[in-house]
Amino acid sequence: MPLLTVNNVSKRFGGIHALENCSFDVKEGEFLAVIGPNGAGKSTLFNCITGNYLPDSGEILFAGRSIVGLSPQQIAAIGVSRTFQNLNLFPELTVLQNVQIAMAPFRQSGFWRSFLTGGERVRRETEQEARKILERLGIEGLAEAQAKELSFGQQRLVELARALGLSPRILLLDEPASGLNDAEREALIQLLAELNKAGLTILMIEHDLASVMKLAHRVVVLEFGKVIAYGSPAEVRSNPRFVSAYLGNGIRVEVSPIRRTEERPLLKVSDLHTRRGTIHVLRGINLEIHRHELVAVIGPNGAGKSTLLGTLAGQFSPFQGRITYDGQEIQGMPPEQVHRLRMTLIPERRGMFPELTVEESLMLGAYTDVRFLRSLGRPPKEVVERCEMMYELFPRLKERRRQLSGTLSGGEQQMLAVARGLMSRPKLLLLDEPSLGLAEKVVEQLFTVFRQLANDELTILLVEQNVRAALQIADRLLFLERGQIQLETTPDQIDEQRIMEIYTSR
Amino acid sequence: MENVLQLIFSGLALGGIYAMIAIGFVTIFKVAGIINFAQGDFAMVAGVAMVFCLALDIPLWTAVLAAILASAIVGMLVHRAVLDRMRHQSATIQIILTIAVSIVLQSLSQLMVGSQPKSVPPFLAGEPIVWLNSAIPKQNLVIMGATVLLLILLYFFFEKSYIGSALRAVMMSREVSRLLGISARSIATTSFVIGAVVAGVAGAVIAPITLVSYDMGITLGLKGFVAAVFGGLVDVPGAVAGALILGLLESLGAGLISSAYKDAIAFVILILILLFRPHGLFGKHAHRV
Amino acid sequence: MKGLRIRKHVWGWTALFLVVMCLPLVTGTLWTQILLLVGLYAICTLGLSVLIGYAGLVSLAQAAFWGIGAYVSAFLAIRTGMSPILSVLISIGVASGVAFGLGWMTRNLEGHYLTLATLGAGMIIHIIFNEESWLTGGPSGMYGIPQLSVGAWVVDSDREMFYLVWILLFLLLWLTRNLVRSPWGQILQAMRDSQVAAASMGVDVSKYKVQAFMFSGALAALSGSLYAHYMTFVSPELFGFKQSIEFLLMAVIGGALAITGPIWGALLLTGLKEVLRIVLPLVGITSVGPVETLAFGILLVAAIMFLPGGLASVLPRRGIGRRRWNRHAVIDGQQRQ
Repeated sequence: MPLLTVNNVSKRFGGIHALENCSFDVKEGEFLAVIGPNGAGKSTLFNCITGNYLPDSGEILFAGRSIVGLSPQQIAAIGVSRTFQNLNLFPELTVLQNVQIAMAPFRQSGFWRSFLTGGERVRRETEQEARKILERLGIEGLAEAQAKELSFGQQRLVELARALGLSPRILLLDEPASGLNDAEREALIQLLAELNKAGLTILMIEHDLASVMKLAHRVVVLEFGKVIAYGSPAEVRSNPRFVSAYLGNGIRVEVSPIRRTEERPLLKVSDLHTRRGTIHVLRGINLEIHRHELVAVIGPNGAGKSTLLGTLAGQFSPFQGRITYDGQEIQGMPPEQVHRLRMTLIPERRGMFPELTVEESLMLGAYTDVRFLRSLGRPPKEVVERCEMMYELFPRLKERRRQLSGTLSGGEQQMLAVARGLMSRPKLLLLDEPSLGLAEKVVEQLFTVFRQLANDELTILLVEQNVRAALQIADRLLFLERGQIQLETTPDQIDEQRIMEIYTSR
Repeated sequence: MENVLQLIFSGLALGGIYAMIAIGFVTIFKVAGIINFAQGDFAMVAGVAMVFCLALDIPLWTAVLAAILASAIVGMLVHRAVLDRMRHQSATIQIILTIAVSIVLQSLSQLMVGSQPKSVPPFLAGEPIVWLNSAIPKQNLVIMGATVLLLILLYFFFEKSYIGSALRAVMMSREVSRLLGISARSIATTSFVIGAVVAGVAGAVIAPITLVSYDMGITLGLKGFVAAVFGGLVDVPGAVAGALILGLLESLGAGLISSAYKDAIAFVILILILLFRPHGLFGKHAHRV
Repeated sequence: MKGLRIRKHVWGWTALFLVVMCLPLVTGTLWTQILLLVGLYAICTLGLSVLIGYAGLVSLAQAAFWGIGAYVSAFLAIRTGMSPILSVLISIGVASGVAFGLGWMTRNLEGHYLTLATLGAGMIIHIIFNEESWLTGGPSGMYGIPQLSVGAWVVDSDREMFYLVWILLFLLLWLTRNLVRSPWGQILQAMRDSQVAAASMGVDVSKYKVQAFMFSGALAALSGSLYAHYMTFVSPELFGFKQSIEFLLMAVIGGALAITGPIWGALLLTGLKEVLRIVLPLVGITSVGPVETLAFGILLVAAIMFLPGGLASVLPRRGIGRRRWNRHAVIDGQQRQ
């Protein structure tokens, strides 16, 4: 009998199907990896297993017993332990205390004993056990250090130690290698392999396909909430659906690129480092974008693509490095200011104002060009004129001008987001995964527009998961992985096979 | 047993007052991201200003306008001088700051008009109007009229003006608005001014009924806050709906069940909402941290 | 190494203790009374500090529990003539029961929602104090509360009360120090740092939340009942929102200095008020009440705005959790890093 069985589990959030009829199992002692592109439902799946979410339908059995509907505490108490993608340590406590908390006698100790005696005995007993775990992971020297003082790599190990403190029967790891450097990643892979060989059952979400191929006995591939492949790493790797999930669907763009060359770059990035929460996402980005170029940034998830665009646009402040835009240094500027310098970001998932109409949204795109007193009345004529120009570019929007943005289809919303961004006449347009969730035809239309815009003198920096689509329109490709630009090339110099190799090897 | 219809009328008037406070809360919260514990005190400022003007023999309706203006100026000052500079601090510190501002406003008022409540003449003189067997004091009509007028003005402002759409956009998503360059700062001040003006109207129209005192803002603010939470802290219509329902419940509860525990009704509702529908009656997403 | 650390702490505490014990001998009646009150406030604030700093639960109902302690003990002592010591203990029990109810009701709430719920509960309890005259004497208050006594010995001098309060306070400080360093205390901190992670490691979060509330309520009731027996008169306006805010401020401001934080917070706040009360007439300001409050308010605003890094910079790494105050508002989703 498998240790963990997931049977036809589905979960919806509003209209979105996060999980649809997922089924798989984990045998005792097995190492199972769950992979898939962004938004595939991997975290949702984990949270359903650990009791943080309640599945809408389906069954989850642990050691033969149904755990659907149990609280996370109860599920942890029967031996299901986990780590978190964004690190969820107890920063004010010491490393030792972090591990002790997971141990049953410690976390079940009562108030009165603690009040009157300080709980000495329990502390001493659990301390021995905890130190043994720290030793196993090679960090027993850090026992007395406060968790928040440690480096990120060390913190990841502490979280692992804590999870082990629970004496789990199964360990759920949520992107354990995310944010680690190459050496730390290698060490972690070794460690996990050893733990598994010693008998610990492991279920792991990971983006780094190379680690997955090395460690896992079996692999589950999720896309849009459904299981699209399930088998050994070798089987999965050669599955065409797997390849499509990562490379996206092919499209045909009829517009031929007009490629210009210009000496001075419009945008120059040097040694950019950004942290998101505790994770060191961007680790020294260097790139240049010239006027009228359409540059595409591709790469696996968690690589830092969104963070890169966010840092350029001012959403995140880098802690190191320089961004020079049109001759001016802009790192650390707030988004409003960056926007005023004519760099506009079209965010991932469009950033709609659901209760504004299409026309109202479009008009707002030019808001910053209007002075305060003028804004107290109706939108000025100039804004209305620009709006008409957008309608020419996107006739579909004109038909729906009085419709609420929230009721548009995905493709229409993306068009609206782009048109809205263009209203302020940017010099550089940043696009974050515009093809996400859109049908092939729509992606084709959209990307054709992008190519036309680039031909017409707009500079575009495009971040995309859909590699095939990006290949069709980009002048240059930048491959971003583990926070660094690993490869710079052009569409004629590279092909799909090479890209898949890069994704899955190393 | 009180006349139920009469209770409903006074409930609506009460709801109108709470609505005006609640609108300010929601607007400031969604636009500037601040929970403004001094909201009720903006209403008090208007009341105090009215007392001042009347003491200087300024005609009633001019005094009302002056009072609302005073409120607006105070609102703008509070944001520009104090809260705006602290916008990068944590929410708890901002809350403590608004509480401190509230303390300052109250003690300033106490110094200006003393500790005793002051009276203000009703806007329309005369006996209560009798309609459908209920006696409706004329001031209640003023309140209801002011509420309706205010809602109409706000509607046109938010729905028809360019800046109104910007405010609505910020209320829907501050993050995306920043990407469009919509400056957090002047928009936030605008929201404070709107909040103060609306609270000012509330303070002016309720003054003849409740008397003006330096601490009249405390309970008003708390009740308005409950009304806003009741409506989901999402948008203006939600706040209005929550406030009207709260006013009705309070009035009916006081008349039919127990007038002593009238104030407790609002807080019981608050707790019930937090326990069972933390996103209020109309809010959509629960704030999952 | 550990031995050395303990010794240094013990020295510090003993020194402080001795200083405090000598104070009534050197200061006049006025300051003895003031410091006595500081001690009482500190006991109440201690409970709140544990709740806020260690459990991460901001409560705006502390004054209500203070009131429960005062009224229950006073009521029992007057109506049933029972020994005040016994009535104090019963009032602690009652307050703990109410705190249990509050903690249980709010066990699924977090952050601001929890705080709002405590606000509501505190206000409701305050209204009950005002309305149920047969229990509390209503708005005009309750007179004739007997002073504390053990057998024939009545605590009727300020000095005696001072010693009683401060010895009790130091005892509680020491026990609480035990508590926060114990497994129970560490689990509380873990919950404060990340409720999700704590639950994922099997911690019964609700149980600890409720216990934290009960601890805080018990200390508040102890303080409140002692207050009642000392002042021999209480009225509802002492136990409202305003007072809860003051306790909150004492906990936050005092938090700067580890476990003895509540003492400093209570001292600063009460001391400030007294200083203003003395100084202002000297500067020619006669209507002291509002001016004192105004000055207090302005000072508070100034302190928050101009202290480098704000109040949070003054908060410690241990003691009252600094992370609590540095956490950015999660209102609309992301914030700038």
